Amino acid sequence: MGLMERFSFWRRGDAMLQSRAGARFAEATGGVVNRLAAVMMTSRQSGDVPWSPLTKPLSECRLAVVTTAGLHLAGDRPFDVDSAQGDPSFRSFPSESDHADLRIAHTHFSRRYYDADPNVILPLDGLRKLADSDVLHLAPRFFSFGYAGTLTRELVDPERGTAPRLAAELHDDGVDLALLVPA
Amino acid sequence: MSLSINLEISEKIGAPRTVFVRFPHGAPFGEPGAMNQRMTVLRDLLRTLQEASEPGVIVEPGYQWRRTEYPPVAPSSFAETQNSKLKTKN
Repeated sequence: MGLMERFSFWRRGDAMLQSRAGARFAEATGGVVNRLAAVMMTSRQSGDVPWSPLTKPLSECRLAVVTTAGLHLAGDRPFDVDSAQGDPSFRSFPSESDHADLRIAHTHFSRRYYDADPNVILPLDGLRKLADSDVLHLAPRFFSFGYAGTLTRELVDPERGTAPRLAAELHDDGVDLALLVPA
Repeated sequence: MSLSINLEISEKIGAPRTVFVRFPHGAPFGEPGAMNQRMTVLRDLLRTLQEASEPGVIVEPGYQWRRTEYPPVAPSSFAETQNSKLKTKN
């Protein structure tokens, strides 16, 4: 067990972020934190930026959300939020789920906004309004990663990575549009 | 297409289409209870999807946390790409 796990580093930080003062502090320092996080990424991802042109009207497209908020069904296996290295696995849940069916595991940001209105991370109300108005269709499942941390290879490896596996599941669901949402 | 709250990381990752908003972690679609705000962000994402013609485009609408007012967004406007005022960063 490493020092970060031994001293429950993430849980202690998480407890601070859930207070009103902690959330305001995170808002004020978010720009600095973002730049530090970007610096810690050693370089631009290799290879060309992927591109798939939109080949049909939006109204004929099926959209799936892929969030990194650590969302999972209440009865599903939770993410490992104590690991210093992270948890690159993902969970799926029906797009017809209600917010009450879901739990949020991620511990690196204030969940005060989510607790007040979960649509700030997963906008089910807005997406259903679009589907009901025939703007687009929603895929049968949405997906969420937890916190991948330093386990980049486990995430993106073409053979065994969890991201290519998730992409295959999107393909199986006939998804045209993947909306990637950070947290 | 990707919603982003960290421009520097998005520039390094290189998603096909990105909309960047200066919102805090934990609230990528804006403030709690602000339906017009998140519908506006959804509209910008879907407009970017339809308008972008090359990979790696990053759009920054310029919304300010707690300070921008958002008029109601009609669902019919989601498929409209003409007269879009989306500002592209690159």
